[in-house]
Amino acid sequence: MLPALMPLEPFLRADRQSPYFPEMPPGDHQITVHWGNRVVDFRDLVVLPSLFYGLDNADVKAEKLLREWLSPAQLAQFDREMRFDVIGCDTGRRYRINYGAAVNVDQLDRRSRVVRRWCFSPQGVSARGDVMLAQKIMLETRERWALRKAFHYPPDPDAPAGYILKSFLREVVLPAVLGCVTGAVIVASLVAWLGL
Amino acid sequence: MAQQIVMDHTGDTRHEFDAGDAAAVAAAEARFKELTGLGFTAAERTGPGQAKIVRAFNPAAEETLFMPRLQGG
Repeated sequence: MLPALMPLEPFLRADRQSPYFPEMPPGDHQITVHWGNRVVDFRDLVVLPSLFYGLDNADVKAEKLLREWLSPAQLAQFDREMRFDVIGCDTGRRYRINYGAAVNVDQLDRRSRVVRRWCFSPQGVSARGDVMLAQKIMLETRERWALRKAFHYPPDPDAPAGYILKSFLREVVLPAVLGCVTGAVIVASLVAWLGL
Repeated sequence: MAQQIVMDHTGDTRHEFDAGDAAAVAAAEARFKELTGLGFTAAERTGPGQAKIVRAFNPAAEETLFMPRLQGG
């Protein structure tokens, strides 16, 4: 007996820009399908019928496992948008985990703008649900440790120069300047204390 | 029944054991030590949407998830 299916309102349209692959040029071959109130990648359609028909493959199992471990709010967001937000345990930053297995973690600022993209995953695992679940758990329990292993990318793929400059200033120049100032203060204090 | 869920290339593999069965608990503990020794991270589900990383086997845990070593990509 077939389980009840969601009302099917499929129509295909060539999306100008997919929300799940923003780095792809607009008007590219990305095709999305509206299935009820969900927008899914055409290639993912194989997963949805499998969920209903109980077919057993890695992506289906992984998505089932992911759903079991999401909070009610995260699950509701995942059902609506195929992504969910987590809060980093060490910094309190908000991250958005998008549906996917690579470069799918967006670091958001207070206005929900993407400030950085992160990429990390468990070795030997490619099922998207598993990757997303591992990302959620690590960000919520060992945020700094996980991000040390991750690669990060600019939020805007068309502006890498600005991002690289800002990163250089923040991660190289600023610590160097602070180090020199601190060293100078220490030396000056020593000199004054020794009366030289 | 307690569950140990191991992430792998098939999605996941689940191992159930009865916390009241000493032999099953011993096997679960051996599996825990083997996987964490291989670099897997063990996480216990503590509530809806909540998990904590564990470094020691807890026979009372209802669900323990084992995730392979993290890599950047």
